[in-house]
Amino acid sequence: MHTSLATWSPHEGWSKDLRTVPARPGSTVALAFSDPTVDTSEALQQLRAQVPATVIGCSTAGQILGPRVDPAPLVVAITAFDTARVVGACTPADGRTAEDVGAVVGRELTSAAHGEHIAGVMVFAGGLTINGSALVNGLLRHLPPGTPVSGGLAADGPRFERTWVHFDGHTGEDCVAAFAVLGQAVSFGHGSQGGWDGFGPRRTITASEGNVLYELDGQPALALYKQYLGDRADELPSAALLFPLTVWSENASSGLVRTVLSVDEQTQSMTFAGDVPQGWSARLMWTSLERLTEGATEAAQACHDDPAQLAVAVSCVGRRLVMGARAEEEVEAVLDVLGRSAPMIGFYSYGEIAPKDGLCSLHNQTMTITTISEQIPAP
Amino acid sequence: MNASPWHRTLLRQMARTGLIPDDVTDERFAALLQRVSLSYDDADKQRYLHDRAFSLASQEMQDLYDRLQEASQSEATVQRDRLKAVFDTAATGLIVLEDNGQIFDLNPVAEMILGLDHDTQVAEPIGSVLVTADPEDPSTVDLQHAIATGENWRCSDVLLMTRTGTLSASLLFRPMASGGGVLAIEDITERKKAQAELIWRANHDSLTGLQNRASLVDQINRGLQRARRYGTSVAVLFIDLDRFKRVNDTLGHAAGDVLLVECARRIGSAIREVDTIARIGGDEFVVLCENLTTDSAARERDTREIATRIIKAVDEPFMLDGTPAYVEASIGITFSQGSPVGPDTLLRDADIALYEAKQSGGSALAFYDDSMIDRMQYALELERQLRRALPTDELWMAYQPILALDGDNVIGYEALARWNSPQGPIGPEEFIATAETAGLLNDLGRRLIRRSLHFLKDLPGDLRLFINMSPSQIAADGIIEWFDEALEDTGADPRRLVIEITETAALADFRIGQRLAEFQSRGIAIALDDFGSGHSSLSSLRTLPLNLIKLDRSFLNSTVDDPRAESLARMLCDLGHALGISIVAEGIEDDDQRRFAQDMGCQYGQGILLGPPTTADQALEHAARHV
Repeated sequence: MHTSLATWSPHEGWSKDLRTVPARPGSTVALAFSDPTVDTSEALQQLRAQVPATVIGCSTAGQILGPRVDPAPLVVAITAFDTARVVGACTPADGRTAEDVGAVVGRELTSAAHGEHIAGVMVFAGGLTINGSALVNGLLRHLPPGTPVSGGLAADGPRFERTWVHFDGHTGEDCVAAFAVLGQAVSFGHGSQGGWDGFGPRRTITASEGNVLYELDGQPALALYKQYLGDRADELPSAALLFPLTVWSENASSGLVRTVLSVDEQTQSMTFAGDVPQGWSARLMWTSLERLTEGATEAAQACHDDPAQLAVAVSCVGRRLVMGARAEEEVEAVLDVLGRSAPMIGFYSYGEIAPKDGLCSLHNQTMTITTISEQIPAP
Repeated sequence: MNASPWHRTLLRQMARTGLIPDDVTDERFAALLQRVSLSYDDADKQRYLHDRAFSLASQEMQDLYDRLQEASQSEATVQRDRLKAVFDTAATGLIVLEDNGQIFDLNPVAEMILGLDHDTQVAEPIGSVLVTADPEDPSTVDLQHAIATGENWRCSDVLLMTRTGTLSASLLFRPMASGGGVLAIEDITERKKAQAELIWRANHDSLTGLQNRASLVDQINRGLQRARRYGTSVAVLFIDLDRFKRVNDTLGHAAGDVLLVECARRIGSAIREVDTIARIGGDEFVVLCENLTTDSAARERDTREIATRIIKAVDEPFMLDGTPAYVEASIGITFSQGSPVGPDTLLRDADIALYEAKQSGGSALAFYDDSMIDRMQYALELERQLRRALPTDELWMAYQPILALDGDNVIGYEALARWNSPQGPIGPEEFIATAETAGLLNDLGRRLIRRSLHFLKDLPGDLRLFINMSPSQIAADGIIEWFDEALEDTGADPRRLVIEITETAALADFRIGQRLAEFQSRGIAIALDDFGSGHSSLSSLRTLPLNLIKLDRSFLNSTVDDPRAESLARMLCDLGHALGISIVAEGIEDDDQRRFAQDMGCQYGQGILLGPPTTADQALEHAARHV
C-alpha cells in the first residue's frame, strides 16, 4: 500500500506530477477535498484523467494535508493498495430521505463487493440537506454487520450556503458518495473525540421535528442562541457552532453532540446535523483551544493503528471557528500521535461520521480520525 | 508592508520593544506578526463569548436556583402547614420532645388531656408534666430512658396524675432520627370504663343488676372449689315465679319489670350474705347458697329456712302503680354431693326439683332426689305422646248424662276427655295437666270442643251439652271469635251449650268474668264446676255471671256421716236457690246419695247411678230413647 499526497492551486498548479504516482486500476482511491470558494473542477478532471483511481471527495470548511490547514484550495491523497480492491458508489438524494439514500449506497457497495470482505467504508455527503444520522442508519442496514463506516459531511466554510460531493467526475450538492476497501489484508482504525464540555443548566427539548429544533424549555431555541452569542449573533448560523448542543435521552449514559447547520428567523428554529428528539435533554457546550487539542490527541490515540499508511482527519467546522488561526495545532497534535511521517489528509466538515463505542454514528464538533493500513502479503 | 490593523496588544508589545509596524519589512516576520495578531483576535473573540456565556449561564443557574429555592420554600411551607394541621387536629395527644427530654411542642389534645397550658409548658422537662399516680410506677423512668437512647417505647395503660385529676393513659414514644421524638398520649379512661361496663354487662342482668347465667356458672364453679377446699357444701335454689305471665299480660311489661326488680330485691334480702343471687331467665332466679354443712339433715334444714324466707317474701303483694299484684315462688333445691359435680348438673337438678315443686301448686319448694328424674322423664314422655296423639282418634270425648232428679228426664250430657294411648287409657287429670304444662291445652281443648259441638248438633231435642274449660282457655286471646266460628261451622246451637269452669283462684281475674259474660250474651250458659271443693269463694257467686252450680262430689261422699258437711252442703244449696241458680249434684253413685241430693234441693244430678260416660254414638242412642 502506497499513499501519495499532492496539492493544487490555481496559481501553482499540481505540486507533483500525477502521472508518476503509483496507482493500480481497481485498487486505488484518490481522496480530494476542495475549497468551495475556488473552482477546482478542472483540477479534479485532470486528477481523474491522470490517475486510474476512484476519485472521491467533497467541499470543505478547510483542507487538511499533513500538519497544514489550508495549504492549497485542493488537497489530494492517492492510495494504491497492494492486494485490496476499491469499489465506489454515488447516488443523488432526488427527494428521498437520507436513510433511503444511505440504504441505496450500502446496497450498491455490498453488491459490488461480490461477497468479498469489506474492510471499511468511507462516506461523504452533502452537508446542508442530508441528515447524517439517518444516512448512517440507512448505510448500515445493507452493509455486512460490523462493517466500520466513517467519513463526513461536505462543508462550505463558515457560510452554510452550498456544499457538494464529487465522485469520478460527477459533482452534486445532494449526493452521497462512498468507497469500500475489500480484502482481509486491510485494516481500518477509528478515533473520535470532541473536547467540548457542557455548561449552564440542563434544558428540555420541548418542541422539535427530526433535526429541526424549535424550543428549549418552552422558549424559542434561536432566541437563546442569540442571547448567548451577543454581538456575534450576526454571524449566525456559523456562530452557533461555538455553542454546540449536547442532547441525551432520559436513560442514556452519554450525550450526542449536535452542530447547527442553519437557522430560520421566521420559525425561530435551528436545523442541526443530527436528530434532536423532543423530550430529550439538552445542554449548551463550550470549549477552549487547549481542550480541542486534547480532544484531537485522544482521537488519534484511539485509532490503534500503528503505523498508519493513510490517515483521514475529519474535523468539525465549529472547531475551526474556535481555533481560528491556531487550527493547525490540533492537526499537529494528531500527527504527534500517529507519527510525523504518517500521510494524512482531511477536511473541516459539517458533521463527522465514525464508529464509537461499537456503534457507527454521526458526530459533531469532533476530530475524527480514520487510519487505513494494509499488511504486506507474504512472498 | 502594511501591518495594520494589527491587534492592539501586539502593537503595544511591539512599541515596548521599540518596534513600529513600519519597521517590519521582512515578509516572513510580517507573516509571523500577522499570525500572532490573528491569534490575539481569536482569543479576544473567544474570551468575549466565554465571559458572556459564563455570565449568562451563571445568571440562568442563579435564576434556576432562586426558582427552586422559592418552590422548595413554598413546598416546605405547605408541608409545614400540613404537618401543623395534622398535629393540631390529631385526636391523640402529641408532645414533641427534645433529645434532653424537654418539651418542644404539644398539640391541643395533649394540653387538654394533661390539663396543661401550651406556652408555660414548652421547654419544661417531660418528667414534670407526666406524673404517675403510683410513685412506684416505673413508666416515666422508662420513658426518659427511651428518649435518651432513641428507642421505641410503649406503655399501654398507666394511671397519670394531672392538674384536674387522674386519668388512664396509653403512651407511645417514637424517636426521630434527628434526635428527640414524639410522645403520643391517649386518654383511655372512658375506654376502660366502657370495657368495665361491657364486662359488667356480660356478667349481669341489665334489668335487675343481678348476675346472669354466665356469671352464675363461674360463681358456682368457684363455690364448688371453696366447698371442696373447706369441706362444706353448696345448694342451688332454682326459683320460678308463678303467675308472673299474668302480671305481664294484664298490667304490661313495664309493670312486670318493676315486679322483677322488686322481687330480686326481696330475694336478696331473704338470703344470707355469703349467698349469691342471679337472674337467668324471664322470671327465673337462682340462689347459690355456700358454706353449708355437709350433714344432709342440717343443710336441708338450713336451706329450707332460706327457701321459706324467699317464698314468704315473694308471697307479699307487689304494689304496681297502686294495683296489688300477686305472684308465688316455686323453688327447686339441690346440693353438691360427695362426688364432683359441675354447675350445669346442679342447675339441671334444681330445675327438675323446681318442676316437682310447681306440680304441687304455688309457693312450694322441693328438694331434688334421683327419683325425680324418672318422674320427669315420664312427664316428658307423656308430653311427647300427647303431642303425637293430638291429631289422632286416640283422644276422644265421652258423654255422661245429666238428669233432672225429679223424674229421670235427661237434660243434657257432659263431655269428658278421654285418651286411649297405646300404653293404655290415661286419666284426664294426668294428661290435661300435662297439656297445660306443655302449653298444649288450648290446642287440645279446641280440637275436643269442636268434636263436642258436632255431637251437640246431632243431639236431639233441646238436650244440652256441658263442656269443661280451664280459666287459661277462657282467658286465651281470640277464644270468643274461635267459638263463633266453630259454632257456625258445626251448626251447633249456642243456647244448648253450657260451659263448666272449675272454681280456682284464677277466677278472680276480672277478664274471666268479662269473657263469661260474652259467652252468655251468645246464649251459652255458665256453670261453676266442683263447687265447694277447694277455693270456694262466695264472692264468685256474686261476681261471676253463673247459670248453674255443680256441687262437688265430695259433699255426697262425706255428708252421709258428717253432720257439719251436710249443713254446709245445705247452706250452699240454699245460697244457690236464693241467688236463683240451679244446682247439679255430681257423683251420685247410689240411691241414698240421689235422695240426699234431692233432699238438699238439687234440681239435677250426675253420676254412675244415673248413667256412666259413654261414646258419642251410645250417648246419641241414649238420648234418642230419653227425649
